[in-house]
Amino acid sequence: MSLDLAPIIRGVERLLFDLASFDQSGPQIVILHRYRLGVAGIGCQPGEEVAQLLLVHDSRRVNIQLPLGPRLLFDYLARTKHLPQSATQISSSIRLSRFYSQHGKNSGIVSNRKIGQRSVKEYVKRIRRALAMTFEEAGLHLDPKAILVSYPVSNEVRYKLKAHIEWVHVSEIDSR
Amino acid sequence: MARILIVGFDEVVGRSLVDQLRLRRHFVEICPLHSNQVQRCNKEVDIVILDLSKDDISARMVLELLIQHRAETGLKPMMLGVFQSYRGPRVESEIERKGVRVVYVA
Repeated sequence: MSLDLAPIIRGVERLLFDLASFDQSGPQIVILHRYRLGVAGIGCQPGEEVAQLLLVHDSRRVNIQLPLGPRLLFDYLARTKHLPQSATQISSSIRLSRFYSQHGKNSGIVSNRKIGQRSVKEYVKRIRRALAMTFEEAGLHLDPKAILVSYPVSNEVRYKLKAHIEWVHVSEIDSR
Repeated sequence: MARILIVGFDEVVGRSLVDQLRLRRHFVEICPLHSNQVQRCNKEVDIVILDLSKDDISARMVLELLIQHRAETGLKPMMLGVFQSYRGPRVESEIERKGVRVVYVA
């Protein structure tokens, strides 16, 4: 009896692709924004809501369970993932950003959070805990500290996200 | 080029798989379920292809062993579980939850 081994070969290629993607840019995470107004194709706009974070692994999507504050911080770190930043830098950038100060406004209720320096440190811990739980659920044996990385520089710590991030807007999903 | 370990397959199917993967320039080794090679499997191996068709205890034990190895070493070895018949969504999701990708061959 001879078997068609093509599914195994395809499976191997897919696993190798996943390995290469991990090595290069970390795990794939989808950030879902909703309440988008305006034209599709434009980047994220003030008034949208960071609704959900999803880890994509082996064609599965697993929720990263985070409350509003850490969710906003994660979104910010994802946008600036090329640049390690200190808690002070993060806090001031989020305060100045219209996206975060008008977060969720398009729904009729602004749902923002004041994110101070201390909050950043606490939220980083919460994000790592949530990532650890999500990795476990997805069967991924990764260290959250290797994804949300801390870089000690003299007496301050800088944070950087190492992940492949994709933003999905719900209005785009609805129009498909 | 990846290092691939093929575990628990019949001689004929295993050989055919080795040939196909070597054609793609991978380093491939084949071993039976009870081999020491499985015990020694570490992060040097990129992918383990495991035959789960026979549904015997040995295959499940090897799977658990490899999952333990992976918990210690990180992402590798990645695992591909092979079935020759459909086992239903429950078995499939139970195995995939452990980080093993499932494929079916016929």
